[in-house]
Amino acid sequence: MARVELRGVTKAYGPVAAVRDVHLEARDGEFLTILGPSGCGKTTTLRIIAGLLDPDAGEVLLDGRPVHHLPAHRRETAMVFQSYALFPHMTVAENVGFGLRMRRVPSAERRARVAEALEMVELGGLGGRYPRALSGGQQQRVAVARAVVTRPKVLLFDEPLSNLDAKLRERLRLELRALQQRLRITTVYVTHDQAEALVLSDRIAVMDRGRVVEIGAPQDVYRRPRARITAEFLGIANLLEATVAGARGDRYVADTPVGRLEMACAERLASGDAVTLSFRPEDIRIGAGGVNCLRGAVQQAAYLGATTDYVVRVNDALLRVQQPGEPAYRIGDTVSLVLPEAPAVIRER
Amino acid sequence: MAQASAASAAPLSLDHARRAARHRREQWVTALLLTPGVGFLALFLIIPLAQVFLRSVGLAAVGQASRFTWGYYRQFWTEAQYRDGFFFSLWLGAASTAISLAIALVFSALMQIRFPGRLAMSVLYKIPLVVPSLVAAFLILSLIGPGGILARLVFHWGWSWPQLVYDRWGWGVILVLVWHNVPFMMVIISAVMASIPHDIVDAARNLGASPWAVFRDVTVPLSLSGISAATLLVFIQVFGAFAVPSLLESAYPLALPVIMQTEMMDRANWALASALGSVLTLASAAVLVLYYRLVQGRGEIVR
Repeated sequence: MARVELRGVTKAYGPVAAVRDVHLEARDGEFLTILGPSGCGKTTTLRIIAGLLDPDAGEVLLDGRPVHHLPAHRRETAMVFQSYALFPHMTVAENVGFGLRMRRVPSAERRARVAEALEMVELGGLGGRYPRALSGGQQQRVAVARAVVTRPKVLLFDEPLSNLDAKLRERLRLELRALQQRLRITTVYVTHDQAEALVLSDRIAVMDRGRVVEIGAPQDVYRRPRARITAEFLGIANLLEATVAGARGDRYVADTPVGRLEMACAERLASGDAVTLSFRPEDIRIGAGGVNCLRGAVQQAAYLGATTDYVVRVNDALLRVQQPGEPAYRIGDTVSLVLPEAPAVIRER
Repeated sequence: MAQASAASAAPLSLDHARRAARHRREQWVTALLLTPGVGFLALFLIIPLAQVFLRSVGLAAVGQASRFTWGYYRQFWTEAQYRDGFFFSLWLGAASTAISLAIALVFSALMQIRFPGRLAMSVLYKIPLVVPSLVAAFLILSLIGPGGILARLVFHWGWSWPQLVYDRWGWGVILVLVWHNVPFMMVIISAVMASIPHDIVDAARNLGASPWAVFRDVTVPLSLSGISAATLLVFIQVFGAFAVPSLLESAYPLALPVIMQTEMMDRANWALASALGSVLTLASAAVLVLYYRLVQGRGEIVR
C-alpha cells in the first residue's frame, strides 16, 4: 500500500507542454481516476508515475520518498496498457510470471502465484495458451493478472477497457472495481469515459490542456462542477452564461439567455459577477408552476428506452431535457419547463 | 419419352464438346502466361545448374570424351587441400556470421533508443554497404596489414604487430567480412526491431526488467524472423565468398571458391571445379532447408 504524490510535474514535447505544473495525490488504497479529453496529458501523467517518461520539472513521491530518479524497472508500479502489451512470444502463464521472474522469485512460488492470479481473473486452465488465441476480454484479464501478481505498491491503468465492446466494458469495470476493493492497492486510472470514471473512482481528477482543473468525489464533480470543462465532459450539461443581478437573502437573481432566473448559492456572489450556470437534463422538469418556469418549443425528441431526450428551444438557447418514460410531446409542441433552483454555479465563462 | 431424351442429349454433347475446347484453350493460355516466369527460371537457373552437375560427374564435357564417374567428388573428399578448403570456407562463414550477428544485434538494439545524433548515426553506419568488398579489403589491409598504418605506429614505440592477415585462421578475411556485413545485418534487424510495439518494451520495463533483460527476453525473441533471415543471407554469401579470401588469406588452406577459380582458369579442370561448385551449392541449400525447419515452428507464435 502506498501514497502517490505529484508535485509541480511538467513535461513538454518540443514546444508543446503535455503536462503543466500538475499537483496530484492518490491516497493509500484509493482509486483515483484521471479523466479528460484525448490530448489532455493524462497518459503522459501516468507514464511519468511509472517512470516510462522523465518529467522536465517537478517531483514524483511514493510514500513521501522521491522516486523520479529511479528507472522504470525499480519503481514498484504495475501498469495495464490500453493495447494490453502482452508478450506475443510467451504463453499466458509466462506473461503473468514475467514480473516474478524479473524479481527472481523461486519457480515453485512463481507457479503458485501465477495460478492464483489466473484464478482471480477467472482464467484458470488457460495458462498454456498464447495471447493471440484469446479474446480481447481475456487478454485484458491476463494484463490485469500480470500487473497484480507482483503485488505492486501502485496499480496504473491506461484506458484498459477502451478496446472492448460496450457490454463487456460495463461488466469488466464492475469486476475491476471489486478487484481493487478486495486488494486495496492504490490505483491511478486514466480514461476519457465519464461513465467509467463515475463507477470506478473514489475520486476523479479532471484534466484539460495539461492541467488538473478539478479533483473530487464522483458526486461532487458531477453535481457541483467547479470548472466549465468538468460540467461539459461529465455527462450532459446545459450551460447558461449568466450575470448576477441582485441578491435576496441567500438567494440570487441572474440574467441569462433564457431570461431572469432565481437560484440558491452557498458561495457569496456580488452583483455583476459573470458566472456560468450548469443544469443537468434530468433535473429539468416539463410542467408548469413555481419559480424559474420557462416556455419553449420542442425541437427534437429521442427515445432512449428508460428516458426520452428532448431538445427544447427557449428564446435563442437550446436546452436538453430528459424525462422518464416514452415521448409525451412531439416536435413543435410548446411546453413549460421548470429549472431547478440550485444549479451548479461555475465562476468562469 | 425417347424422343425427348434424344433431343436433350444432342445439345448436351455439343455443350460438352464446346466446354472441352474451351478447357484446352485455357490450358494454352495458362502455359503461355507461365512462360516468362518458368522460362526465366529454366534458362538462367535450372539449365546452368544441371550443366554444372553433369560436368561434375564427367558428362556434358566440351571437347572431351564423356564418361560417367563420381571420381571428382571422391577426389574432393580424399585430397586434403580440397577438403580443408571446404572446412575453411565453412569456418569463414560461421565465424564472420557469428561475430557480425553479435555486433549487429547490440547496435540494432541501441539504435532503437532516441539519442541526439541518432539520425546521423543511422546514415553513417550504412556507408560500408556502398563500399565494394575489394576496396574494403584494401582499406583493412592498409590499416592492419604488415607494414600498415597500425603496424608502423606500434613499431615506432618498439612493439611488434601481430599477424592479422595472411594467417592460418583467416582473421583478416573475417575482419573485412564482418566490417562489410554488420551494416547489412543491421538494416534487416533494425527494421524488425523498430516494428516491435513500444508498449511491449515499456510493459517489460514496468514489470521490472532491466535494459539487458528487455533485450534478452523481449527484443531478441521478437526479432527472430529478421535475425534468422540476416544470419542465413550473410552465411551463404560468406560461404561462397571469393574476392576477400583470395586477397587476404594465407597460402594454405585456401577458401573453396578460390580453389575453384584456380582449377577452372589455371588448370582448365572444369569437371573438378564443377564438383566443388556443386558441393558449395548443396551445402548452402542444406543450410537453407535447416533455416526453414527452424522458422516454421516459430512463425506461428510470433505475429
